[in-house]
Amino acid sequence: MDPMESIKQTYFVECDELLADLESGLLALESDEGDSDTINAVFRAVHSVKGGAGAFGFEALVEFAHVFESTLDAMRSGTLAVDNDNVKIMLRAADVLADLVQAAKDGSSVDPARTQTLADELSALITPQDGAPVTGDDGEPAADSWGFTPLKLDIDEPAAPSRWILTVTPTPAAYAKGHDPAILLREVARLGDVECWLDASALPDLNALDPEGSYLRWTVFIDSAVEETAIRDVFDFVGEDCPITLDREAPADQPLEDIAPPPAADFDVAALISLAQAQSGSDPAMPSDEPAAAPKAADHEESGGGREPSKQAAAGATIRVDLERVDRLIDLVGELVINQAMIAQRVVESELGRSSSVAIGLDELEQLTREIQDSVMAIRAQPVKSVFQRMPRLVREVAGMTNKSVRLVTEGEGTEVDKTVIERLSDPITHMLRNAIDHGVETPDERVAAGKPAEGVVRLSASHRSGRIVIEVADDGKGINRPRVREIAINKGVISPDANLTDDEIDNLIFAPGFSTASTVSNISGRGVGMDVVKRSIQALGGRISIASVPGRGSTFTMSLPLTLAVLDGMVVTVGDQTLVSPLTAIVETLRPKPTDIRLLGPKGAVLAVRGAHVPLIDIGVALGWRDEPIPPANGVILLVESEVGGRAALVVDQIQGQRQVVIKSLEQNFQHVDGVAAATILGDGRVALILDVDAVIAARSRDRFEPQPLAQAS
Amino acid sequence: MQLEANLDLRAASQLHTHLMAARGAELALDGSQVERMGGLCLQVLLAAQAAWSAEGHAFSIHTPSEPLLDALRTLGASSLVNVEATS
Repeated sequence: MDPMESIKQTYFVECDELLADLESGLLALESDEGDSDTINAVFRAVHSVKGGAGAFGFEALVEFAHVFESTLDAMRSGTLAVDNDNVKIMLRAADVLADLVQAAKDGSSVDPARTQTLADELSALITPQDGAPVTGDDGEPAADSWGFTPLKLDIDEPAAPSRWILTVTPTPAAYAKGHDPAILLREVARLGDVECWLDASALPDLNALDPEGSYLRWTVFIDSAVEETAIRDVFDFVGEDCPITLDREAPADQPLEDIAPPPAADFDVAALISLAQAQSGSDPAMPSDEPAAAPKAADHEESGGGREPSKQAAAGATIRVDLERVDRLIDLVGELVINQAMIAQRVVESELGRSSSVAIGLDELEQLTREIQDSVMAIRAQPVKSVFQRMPRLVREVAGMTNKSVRLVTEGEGTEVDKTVIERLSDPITHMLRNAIDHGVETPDERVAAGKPAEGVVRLSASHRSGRIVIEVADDGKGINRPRVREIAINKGVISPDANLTDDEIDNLIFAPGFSTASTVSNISGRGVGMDVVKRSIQALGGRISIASVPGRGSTFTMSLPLTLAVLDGMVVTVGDQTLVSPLTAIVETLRPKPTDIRLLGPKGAVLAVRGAHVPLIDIGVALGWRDEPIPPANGVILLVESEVGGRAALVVDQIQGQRQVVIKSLEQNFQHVDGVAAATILGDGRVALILDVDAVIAARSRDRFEPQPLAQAS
Repeated sequence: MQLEANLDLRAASQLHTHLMAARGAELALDGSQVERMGGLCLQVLLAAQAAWSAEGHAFSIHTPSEPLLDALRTLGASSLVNVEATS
């Protein structure tokens, strides 16, 4: 890859993180959880997005980010109130910023009118207060509407000993990225009393001047009481674009070039220690309010402050690794697991005995392989936050389009799941949220009439439950209109008019193909995508979805997904001459049926009595087309399985071989989709075994059950 | 000549062009509309001030806005307007 292009890619990856920080910061401010640090973080996020955009010449992005940043700056300096209305505008601005980043990334276009509207709204927030001096909340005297603090410029004032001397030498890149010294120096001025000296000696003649060059440098004397870290923090995210030096002031008679810790008796001891530590670059146990100060100072001593080291010191060291490399590693570990299983099989075949040294060594190898596999999977595990954080925007937009007032509450954002799963979570969650707002939550008027608060609440949560990730989308809306669902299902021939269905079964009808209960096909949910598509995409991930609804109180969609798509705990069974794997999660229990428990229904059908209930018997050999006649169930073994749609079923197989963790090999990628088969795997003996798609098998069986009906009526 | 409201990084090049075109004669800049000013425009203005003074022409920024004065104070460049501003 062209080096510029790869830097650009890194920038976009960073942008994703920055935009996420931006949004979560703004949301924290919206819910009154933010403080000045949050505002700073939000400002920094926009500033960093702008910085990179400037470097790559994304004009539109820089322009908008600049306006956004100015407004945030006003908020940061206390001249713009952090109230709900202002934050709402900022949230929408964050959406536009995200769009602009996306546009810069893939070359798509952004509605310039929308960008302009928001830019104007942002500017409007800070312009009307022009000129009127105000006092900030923190009692800072007379910070004016632009956040400037008047500076003392009295040269004759005797300098207090051991003030800080800061030199600022911006490079052209600093300007290009929007790190204007005017902003930086204003930040510094905010810290305490400062004296700012401009050095324009390098300024060329007007003719020779490059308007985008950098010729000025500044020396700032800062009050000794200001923390070193506070000063460095200002330049923290500017990095090498704007090198600084920071030292304690020398006694007045000593030339500036020769700065050394003054030996004066009244010298600030803490400052002396911190300087010594900064120079030695060690010992984090610095007597300072911030324990991170010393290593940070050491990091920055030479470079003049880079953004990465300090951030990483706080967040724990991380590296970026190309996803392809991780995927390759996971693939290899998968092969290792298969290979290990093959050796195990050979050892069993060679009849060496369980206690032989080879078998014991192999057991250890197996444990080790498991551990490696878990560790490697952990590399790819990511918190679902990356998906959840896109949702507040969606909720805002959908709520806006449907004229509903909706608040999104998210829980369990830190829940980790494999990256391959995460990528495919976005669509189903998006659709479930749309559905919840469009069909679930009522309009504010309806809600008030029903005695509920005008603002609806949609809760999006994630949690780990028995080795799976469970994602819930719950609304406090009107719940499912069961009579209507039933009526439509009958009209569309999904169920027969005399079908006797439980409430749960009616609720689950909305997952039936082509089902939509909205009386008018709305812009939001009526895009030809029904809940059946959501369901199918979740099933494709080895997941299940279900719904629980209380009329007038709301509905809860629950989907449960495997944590990874790479391995699966399965039950290895024999059907005819084939070996199959059934996902362990689907199996409720296994049993050998007594002939008396089996009741025949019609020519082919049969049910099994299990603990007082009857469940349909499905012969897997027949279902997958390996044999024409089912084996007598009493001769086989029953896998009692549960699916979210068709309830329980008893799958008849010939024999159970055992439980095993198998590595999933996609059938779609290597061959094509096969009904009733979820994927394939390679067994210890090197043979390919198919992984059963339990839900699909049961669904196919339910279809068979309904299909003969029209025939029966016709005859 | 009126100074633009927004003298940030994108304004520097244009300001430079405008000032180059105005050379050789006395120049009075109206600073009343300035809402913000960054380091790049300051460079141009400082260089212009030097150029005008070298040629013996008057160069002034009159009626500076409060934001302009503040920016100049922050950047330690109050001398750019001090002399003529108060007159």
